Amino acid sequence: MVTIEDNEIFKDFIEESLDHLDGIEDDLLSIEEAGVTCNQEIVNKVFRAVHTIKGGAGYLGLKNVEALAHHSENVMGKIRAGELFPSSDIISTLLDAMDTLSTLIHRHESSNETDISSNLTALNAICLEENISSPAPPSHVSSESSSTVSTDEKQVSEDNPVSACSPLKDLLGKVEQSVLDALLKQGSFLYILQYNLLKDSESREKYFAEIMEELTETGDVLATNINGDDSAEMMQKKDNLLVVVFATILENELMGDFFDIAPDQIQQITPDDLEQELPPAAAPRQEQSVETSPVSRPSVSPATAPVKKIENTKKTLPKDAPSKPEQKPDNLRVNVKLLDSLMTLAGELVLTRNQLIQATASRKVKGIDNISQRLNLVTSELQEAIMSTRMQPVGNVFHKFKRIVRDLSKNIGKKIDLIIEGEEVELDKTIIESIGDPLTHLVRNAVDHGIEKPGVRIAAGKQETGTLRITAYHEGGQVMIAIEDDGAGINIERVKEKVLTMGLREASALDELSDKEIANLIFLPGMSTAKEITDISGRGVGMDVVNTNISKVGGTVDIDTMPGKGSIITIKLPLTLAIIPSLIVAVQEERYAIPQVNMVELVRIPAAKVKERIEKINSAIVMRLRGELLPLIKLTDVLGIKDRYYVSDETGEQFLDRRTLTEDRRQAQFAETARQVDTENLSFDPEQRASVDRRTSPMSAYNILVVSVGDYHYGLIVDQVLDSEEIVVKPVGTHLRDCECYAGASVQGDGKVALILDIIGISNVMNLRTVSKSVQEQALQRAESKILKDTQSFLLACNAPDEQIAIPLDLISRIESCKIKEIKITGGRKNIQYRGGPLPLFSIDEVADVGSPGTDGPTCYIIVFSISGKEVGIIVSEIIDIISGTFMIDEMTHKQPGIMGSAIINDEITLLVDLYGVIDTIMPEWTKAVKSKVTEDSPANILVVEDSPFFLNQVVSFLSEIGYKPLTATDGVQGLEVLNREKIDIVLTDIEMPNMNGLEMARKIRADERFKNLPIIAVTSLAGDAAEKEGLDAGINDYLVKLDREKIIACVRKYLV
Amino acid sequence: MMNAATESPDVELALFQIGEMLCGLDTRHVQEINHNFEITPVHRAPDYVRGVINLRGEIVTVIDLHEKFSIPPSEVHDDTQVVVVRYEEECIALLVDTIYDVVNAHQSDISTPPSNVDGISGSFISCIYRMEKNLVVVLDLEELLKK
Repeated sequence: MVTIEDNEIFKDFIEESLDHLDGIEDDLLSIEEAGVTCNQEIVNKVFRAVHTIKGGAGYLGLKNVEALAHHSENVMGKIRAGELFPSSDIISTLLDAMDTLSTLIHRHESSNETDISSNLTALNAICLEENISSPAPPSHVSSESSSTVSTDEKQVSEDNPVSACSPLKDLLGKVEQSVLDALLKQGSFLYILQYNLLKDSESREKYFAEIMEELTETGDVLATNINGDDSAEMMQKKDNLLVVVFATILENELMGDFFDIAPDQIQQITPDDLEQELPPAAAPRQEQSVETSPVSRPSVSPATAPVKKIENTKKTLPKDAPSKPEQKPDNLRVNVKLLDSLMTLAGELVLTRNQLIQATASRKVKGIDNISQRLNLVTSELQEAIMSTRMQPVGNVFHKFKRIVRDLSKNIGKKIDLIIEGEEVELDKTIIESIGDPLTHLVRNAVDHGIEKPGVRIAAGKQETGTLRITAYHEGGQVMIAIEDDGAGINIERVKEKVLTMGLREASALDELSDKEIANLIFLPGMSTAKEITDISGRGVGMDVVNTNISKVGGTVDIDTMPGKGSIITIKLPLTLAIIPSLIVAVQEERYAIPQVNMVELVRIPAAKVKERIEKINSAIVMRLRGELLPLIKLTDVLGIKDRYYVSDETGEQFLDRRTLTEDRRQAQFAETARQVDTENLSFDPEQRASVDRRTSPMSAYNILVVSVGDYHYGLIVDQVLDSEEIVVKPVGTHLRDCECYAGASVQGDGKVALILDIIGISNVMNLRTVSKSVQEQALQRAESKILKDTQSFLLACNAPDEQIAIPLDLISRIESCKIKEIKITGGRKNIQYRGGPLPLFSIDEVADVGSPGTDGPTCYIIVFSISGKEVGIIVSEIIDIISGTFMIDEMTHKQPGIMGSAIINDEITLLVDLYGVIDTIMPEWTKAVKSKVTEDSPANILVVEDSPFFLNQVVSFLSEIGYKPLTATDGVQGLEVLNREKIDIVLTDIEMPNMNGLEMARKIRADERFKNLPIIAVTSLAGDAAEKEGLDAGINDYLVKLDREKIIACVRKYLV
Repeated sequence: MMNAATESPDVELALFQIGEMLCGLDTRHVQEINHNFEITPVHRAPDYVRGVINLRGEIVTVIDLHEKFSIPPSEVHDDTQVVVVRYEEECIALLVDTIYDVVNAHQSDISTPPSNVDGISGSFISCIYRMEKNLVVVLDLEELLKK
């Protein structure tokens, strides 16, 4: 016996045994599937595999493994002998036993202490039970080796039904045990060979004597069923089977080659067979009771160490046992031909190097061209060859699904056909290893959630048996794996529901998504639509893990689903990982590589657009990209690079840039220049021009790499985008494994190292998931405010030079340009001929203490608006822009007739023009209608709900002016409080407010019986159709524009009558 | 590894300077001495990691022994040399100041570290080799490189 310290042997044993077990699982399943008609060859294969494990375990002293293997072998033997029908239950028991076996082998140190009694009992029960009621159809047994042996022999077999006793034992019994022991100790193998004398003699011209001669050359014939003397006589008989007990040092694989006989004619006998006086399984091998006589005495075979022997025993494994790389990642089986071609290429490479060295030594420039071409060729070929050593068939992963699907469907009472296609498609070893778990999860999901129970299927008019199809194929240089079921499909509504309850998306956002997009939301964390949580799936973890794992190897997952028809999950995988296309970027003179698979797009924001496109939310920088907000991070921040250098365009010098807040870089001057550009002001001073140039130079533009991390994208700001390259991924040392930011390193063409950025790692380091969430929330808010935004739109204009004014855009009818000389002054009033009539013109300086619009230029602009049904115009000298936004309005500093207040817009103090006030001051009688005081004794109570103090004051002041007594509230909650406290006749409300917005308040008011008929007027800054509709639905009576004093008053009056 | 020096009568030590300390390392750990390389900085790495270099296609982590011994970081210049050691199947480059020589250290000249050497840096010291004029601090590679 070997000591436990013999690690090498243990390792080999474990590897080989696990290999066997893998094969066994598949084979057992196909035996079950085939039932009585199963291929005996498969049964034999399983039997042999278990047997080999038993042998090894016995040798290594793993008693439990040995016992379990032995009992399993017994059951297998009965199946092989046809005494046992491989029913589903029996196969299950066997599978369980194999699982336990695998566990025992994995933990072989403690295997002898493990309790395996339940497995043993189950196996024993099968043996005993079937012993009593075994039908044992003999004809079945005799077909054992017929599949590969000629019909002649089948004939023979049928004529010679198996005898009940064990003839092999008899034959072996003729050989003395001590002789056998001695042979085995010397490292010989024992075989039982079967020759069909008739057939072999005819086809291969081999007769008994020749056979014997051949055998004795390489080993010892211990016993035969035929005496040499009567061989001729035997040949005449129908029964011409020659059975030989043979001892040799040849291994099983070599036997066939040496003696030119089929593998099924050879049976190896291991020491354990002898010890147990041959298991019943060995019996059917022998098809005839024979007489034997020892032909020769054993001679001394070369002594072999016991270690060698166990290795040899193991090598009797069937050659077609599938290789299983994921269980032993340290070893890889490589085709010898491939290895040869690698060797040749390596030789080529060395030759080329020698040439290169010579060429460089002799400074022959000419030759180098050729050499580099050759080097290029050899390298690419070498690369290709080496890559192909890493390629493994995807079937290595697929084959385990047979068992999984079988077990699962059995557990949950479903009928499922599993179809596997494209097992031969090859993928990089690393990828194969890492897709096992995600795929298993998807298959489990398909079985558990996808395919319905038989009853449900029949009710739905489908076949009772569901189909699960797993396909692998090549497409566009990538490998696609499709998992397709014909089940119920994904319930889109339930996904929506779940997304909403989990708060992962807003309802409005969901409405915009297609069904397919919604189905793909199941990859978000926390999603599982299974109503019941089973132990198979439905715990709400998984799909996002599937997604993450697959994206880790550079793949993508996509779902297509048809309610009632089924779903297809498609996984796209790169062929290999070791060499990846990537983008080389630079920050601060340092180069980094980003795998192309993570890249979505490259966005370059020129300096002039930086302010417009890039914004700041709290501490996060975001970019507007096609209406979406994209979280941005700077690579320098990620890596903690502090010093910022920039390279001067002209001199190539480096300067230290001390700016830290790049996101709000020089907004002030920037806006100024932008404006000056816009207004085509040509009076730039040279200094300013220079500064513009610097800001628009490439260094201040933003290079943004939009990268994808599974379910969300983010932008990485880098200094430079250099090149796209195929890089060789190299691992980094153990000390750097903890840096999440790097996926590895790569050597660049110039020999420098470029680290490969781990896009997922970076997002973890920067806590992007939360940032992205908050950005999403912000985006949602913005999406809402697109409809109901509380921002004000102003027309920016220049009254006098350097005096910026803003006019509420909503009040303006149109803008006209006119020549100064066309303005006529009649009766002390400025007028212009306009559409056949005079248009009264005013300028703000007539009422307020502001500069007068320059009349020296040839043209000016007239802002036309209407008041009391009359159109009037205000003269300004320049139109600058239309802006919208929320502005802090200062009502104090500049308040005067015609001026509502001031605000800082584009970093300039801007006066907000009160159009109504201008006219009211100049032409008080024009506004009389509006101003006519309320005549009732008890003026109506108006509730004004508005969160911006500026607008609140505006509305309150003009309402009080005409005699109303407005009450105020700053949000919906307060508004409702006031409403409950006071008697209110009409409500004027803003829409966008904190705590409770206007719509919600309106709904609340309408829900109250008391206020069913209370007029509610929305006073908002912009009224779109959609917003208006929503407002009306909420119970708002009318929609008005903020600051349109006239209309507001008219409306209030209308409702109060 | 710790007792490499005490097991065999003679030990080959590669001598180099770290700050003011003369250090020695069992040559069995040393793969090569290298210079003329470019260190690529690795941000967010532990402090003692200066970066990585490309050693014939292998990415090798450069560890600054100054940081390990808590003395100000060494300056990297064109002539800076590294001692490339192999530790647990991985090549690691140790940034040292000056590399001197390889000496044969007799067992009799090797003693355990004095008891007043302790602290974190103390654990990096395997033993002391007494040369005629100097004391050589023999480094314990395992302690030095374990994470």
